[in-house]
Amino acid sequence: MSEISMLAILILSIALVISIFRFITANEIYTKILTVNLIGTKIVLLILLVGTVSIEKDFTDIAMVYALINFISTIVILKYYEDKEVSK
Amino acid sequence: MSIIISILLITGVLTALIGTIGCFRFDNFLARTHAASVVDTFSTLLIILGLVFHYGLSLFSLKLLLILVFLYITGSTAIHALTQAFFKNSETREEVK
Repeated sequence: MSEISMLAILILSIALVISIFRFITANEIYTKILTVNLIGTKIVLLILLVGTVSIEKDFTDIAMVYALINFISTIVILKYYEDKEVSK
Repeated sequence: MSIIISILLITGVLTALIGTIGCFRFDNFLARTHAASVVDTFSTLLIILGLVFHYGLSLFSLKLLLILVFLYITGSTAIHALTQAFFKNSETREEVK
């Protein structure tokens, strides 16, 4: 189980790095918000996977709080950009 | 049982990788939201199901299923709100048509 978790964490970290590059190279605001949402979801999954490898197994609460904050931040940023005219 | 867990975890993680690469490759914004939604729903389902099989019948599994339900609702809502904001903006709407 530990090796499988390590392999899963490795592949997920590669996906995380790719999405961070996507965030840097995006030139419109909607793609940036989409990528931030994507990074947040993958960090929740990464926290859950690290919880299986680590000795302490109390990471599920942290993952839940992270998912909540990710959702709220996305909605609030969208509320801000919905009214404002986006300049390209 | 270990084989089931391995298949679920590796398939879920590879789906996340493919969704991220799709977010890079698609040139249309709406196609990119599709690629991101795959990570939000399918990959989350597979990985959390694998972790539930690993932990067995316990309190952790209940919390993991709660996280799964929460991510399903909020991920779909967030991408729906994002697409709606994209359509409300006049410049981008002209670009799609």
